[in-house]
Amino acid sequence: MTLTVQSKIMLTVLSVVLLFALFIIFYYPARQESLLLENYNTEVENYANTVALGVKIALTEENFEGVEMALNYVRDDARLQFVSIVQNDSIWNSEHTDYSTSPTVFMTYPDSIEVNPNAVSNEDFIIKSTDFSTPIMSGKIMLSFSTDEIVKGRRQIRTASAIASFVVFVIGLLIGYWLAKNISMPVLALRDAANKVGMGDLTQSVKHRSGDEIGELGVAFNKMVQDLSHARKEIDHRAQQLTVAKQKSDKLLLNILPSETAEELKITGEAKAKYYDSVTVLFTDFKDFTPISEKMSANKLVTELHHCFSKFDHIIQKHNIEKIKTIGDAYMCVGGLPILNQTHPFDAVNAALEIRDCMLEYREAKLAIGEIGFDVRIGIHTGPVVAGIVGINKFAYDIWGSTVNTASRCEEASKPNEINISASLYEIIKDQYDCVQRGKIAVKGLGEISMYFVKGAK
Amino acid sequence: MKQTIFKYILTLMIGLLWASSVNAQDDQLVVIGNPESVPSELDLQQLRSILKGEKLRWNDGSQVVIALMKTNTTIGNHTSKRLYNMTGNELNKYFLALVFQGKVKAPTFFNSTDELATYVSQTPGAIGVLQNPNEKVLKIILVDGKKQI
Repeated sequence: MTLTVQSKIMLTVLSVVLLFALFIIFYYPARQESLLLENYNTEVENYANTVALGVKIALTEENFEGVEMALNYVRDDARLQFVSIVQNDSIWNSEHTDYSTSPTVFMTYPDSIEVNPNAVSNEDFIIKSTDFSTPIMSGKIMLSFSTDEIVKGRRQIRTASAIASFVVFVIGLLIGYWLAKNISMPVLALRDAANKVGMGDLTQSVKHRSGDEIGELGVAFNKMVQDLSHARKEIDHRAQQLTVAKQKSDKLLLNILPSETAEELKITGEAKAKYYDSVTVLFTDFKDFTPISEKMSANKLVTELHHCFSKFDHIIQKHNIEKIKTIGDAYMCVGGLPILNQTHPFDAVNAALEIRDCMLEYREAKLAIGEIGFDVRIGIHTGPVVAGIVGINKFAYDIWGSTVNTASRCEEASKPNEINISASLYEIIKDQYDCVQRGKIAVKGLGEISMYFVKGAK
Repeated sequence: MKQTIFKYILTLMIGLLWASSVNAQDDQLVVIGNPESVPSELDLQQLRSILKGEKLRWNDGSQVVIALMKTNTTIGNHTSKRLYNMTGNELNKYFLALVFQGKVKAPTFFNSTDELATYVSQTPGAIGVLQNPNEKVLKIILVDGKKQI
């Protein structure tokens, strides 16, 4: 069984109070009664001594004032039972050679009481004797006082002790309750507040009225919660900043890498190269880019490229094509990775058609304002590639394989504003697009390969 | 010879008688009293009763105060024998018993007659026993009509 702080305090205080109350109700009366009896015996003994001295002076000096005064004092005491002069009589033997003494009562006040000269104290009376010796008479003064006063005194002491004990117990009880309440209530409030703080509520605070350790604990708790709140706000702010930064970095990363590859790189710290048995690679290039670029300023050139490639980016994104890179005026993208799909040949052709149309509009617009517009050449081929990331700095997602070379050669063998595709791609899309056979065309490194121009969708 | 012996005997008897007469005259006691309250004349029985503490107040209501010479003095010894018919020790024990009972105030005992005379003369209701007091100063109480008893 676990006791609460309040119960422990109450039990402690009650134990102390109970011990004190028991002390008051048992030990204190016993001690007081003992003192009372002792004082009473001493008082009676002093009376007997005084009377005996008075008798001695009276019989030796014939001065009775002392004994009269002492006896008056004794007789006036309501507790007096009797006071007697006991005379020691000498009793000689028959030969008158030896004697013994026998106590006989010479006089008693009050004379109605018959006193036994050998009487001793009992529960009802305290009897004290003091010897005296004069040439006239030797003996003792016997003084008997009633113990009624002691009994009465004992009763008063016990009653007072019982009342005092009860009062002490009640006061102790109240103090214990007050203490328990004043200590446990703030502690319980502190516990509840700490539980709520533990559950994330950092608005908690406790009242700390007292200046003692519990009050200081409350102050420390409030400060701790306040600091935690500040720290959490700081953390939230930092986390928000980190989230924004992460979003930026993710966006940046996604600009560089395909989303699945970027995710794999973030999770595992690396992106393994993968083999794709069927993807469609698309290349574009601008005809006569170098001579034209020589006639433009660098800024103008970059602006023009940026304009065109931005449009390409939007177009291929719309057709689920992954941009790989740009090399000078060349633009390279691929359909069918990193997530496998079956529509990548059509997606690539659709994107190429849109790029071509976009560039035709661009060229006409440029011509309309008297400027030179680029003519775009497009080459597409479908086949297997290996895709992945190489290097540890400036990550770049790239693809490798003969498919890439074939697509590039298709672009090189293309004509301005034409889409040149390989025979393998043609076999896939021929039912849905109007194509013009170009025959076999020799390309660098691959010999002669069959090529087709895509004119448009059927 | 017989006459001579008779003369000696007669002379001896006369001498004894004289001596006795002188001694008796020395033993004569005189009762004195304070001028206030104490009557001028008492009979012997009244005197003994008063001295034994049997009478506590005079006729005017004032307290009887007894003054005696200590029993180890000649006057005190004669007083106890002749007026109390007790020895000195018996007298003391007698008054001790009375005092013990609270029935009487014990006599005041003196070592000298002058002290006793002064005490009686200055204490209202006091009565004392002396020999050859100064009659000009003290009030002599007649006992059975006599100054001496």
